[in-house]
Amino acid sequence: MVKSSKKKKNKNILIILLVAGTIGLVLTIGRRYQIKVIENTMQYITSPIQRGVNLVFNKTGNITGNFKDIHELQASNEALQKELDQLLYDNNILEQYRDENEKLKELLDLAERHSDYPSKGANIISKDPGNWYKVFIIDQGEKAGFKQDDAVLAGGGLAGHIIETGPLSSKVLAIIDDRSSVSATVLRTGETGILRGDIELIQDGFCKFEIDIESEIITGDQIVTSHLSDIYPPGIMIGVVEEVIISKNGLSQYAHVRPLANFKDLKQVLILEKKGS
Amino acid sequence: MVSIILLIANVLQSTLFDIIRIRGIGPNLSVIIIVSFALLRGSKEGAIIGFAAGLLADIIFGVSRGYLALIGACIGYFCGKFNKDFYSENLVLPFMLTLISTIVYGLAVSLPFILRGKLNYIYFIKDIILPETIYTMILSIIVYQIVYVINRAIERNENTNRKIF
Repeated sequence: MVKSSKKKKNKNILIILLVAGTIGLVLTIGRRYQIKVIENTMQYITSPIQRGVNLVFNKTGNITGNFKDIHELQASNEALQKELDQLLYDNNILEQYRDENEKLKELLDLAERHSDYPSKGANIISKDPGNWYKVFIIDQGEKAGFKQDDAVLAGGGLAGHIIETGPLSSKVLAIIDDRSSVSATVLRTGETGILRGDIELIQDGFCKFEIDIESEIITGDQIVTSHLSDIYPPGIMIGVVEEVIISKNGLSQYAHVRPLANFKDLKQVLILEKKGS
Repeated sequence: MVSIILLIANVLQSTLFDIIRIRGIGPNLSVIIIVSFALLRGSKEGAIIGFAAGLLADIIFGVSRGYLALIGACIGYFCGKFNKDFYSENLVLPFMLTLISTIVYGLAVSLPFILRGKLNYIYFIKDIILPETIYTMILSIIVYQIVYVINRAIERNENTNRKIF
């Protein structure tokens, strides 16, 4: 009983000492330069403790040190990452320029190749009187060598394709017709989508270009026919993106494309005949 | 005789009428002709004329054959039913029938769009069928007079033929 109370007393003293020590430590830090005597004497007491603590911390310090390091590393990593992002972005832009350059060069080639396609002019002689479809009839047919699925150009861009030929005239389905769909590519990024005619845009003479939600497409992008199409030769200019719209559910996006061919006052068209077919 | 008129009407509609489009919407001349002839000559001839007019439009501009012919025949037949209660100076009946027929025609033509998944029906009605109907109705007043004169000529021709035989 007595022993235990003694132990308790000892413990109490220890606690008091520790508290006093810590208070002293705080005080010495506070008045470092004023009372050097106290500090010096205190140093004798504190230094072994500090050493001990240091020793302990050095042994176990790796763990906490790791944490410290991690924080630092994370900070530097973030900074580097940002730099990397910036560089990647710059690089991307440069790459895009390179791609664009190559594609433009290709297009130039293609334009030359188009001149190899036998192309013939024709006049539009009548247009569908209804308000629903955009079909027109041209004054050249099988006698001029036109076949079904020949591509029709107007105003420097794609206008449609021949769906039926007679001996003297052919029927042309315009790209803005609701029944028409063309596989097309964004010239800048090289991504392909489907260019469809849309009944709601038919009066404005626009097409709807459906493309993947994740692809970048901006106003002013140029749309050309893709290499996937059976009917149309690749690289024919179709039109320019007028407006990009993301659908309400956020799962698809489409763009309104203004074709180079102006369907409202179309008079003459150019027909590309396919090679080898 | 009627077939020539139809041919002329269709050619006119596909060439000249392109100029008189208002905001890209043109009138529907073939419906006016079907309605007027059906009214003047009865449902049997109305159905034949409607079929011919629809088939002509199908052949010249359509991709599939027969759909417009079917619609035309139906319109001609039903408008011909009013032949008995109709006297030639009445202008309200052809006017009303043109209105109904154009709307029916428009709804029928928009059916393939709906089957293809374009479900914006309000747009179809508001921006295509309604302007087309109004335009067609105004035009029908003029066209009806012409058709009336032509029909009288046809009837006179038939009478003289009957006298010969």
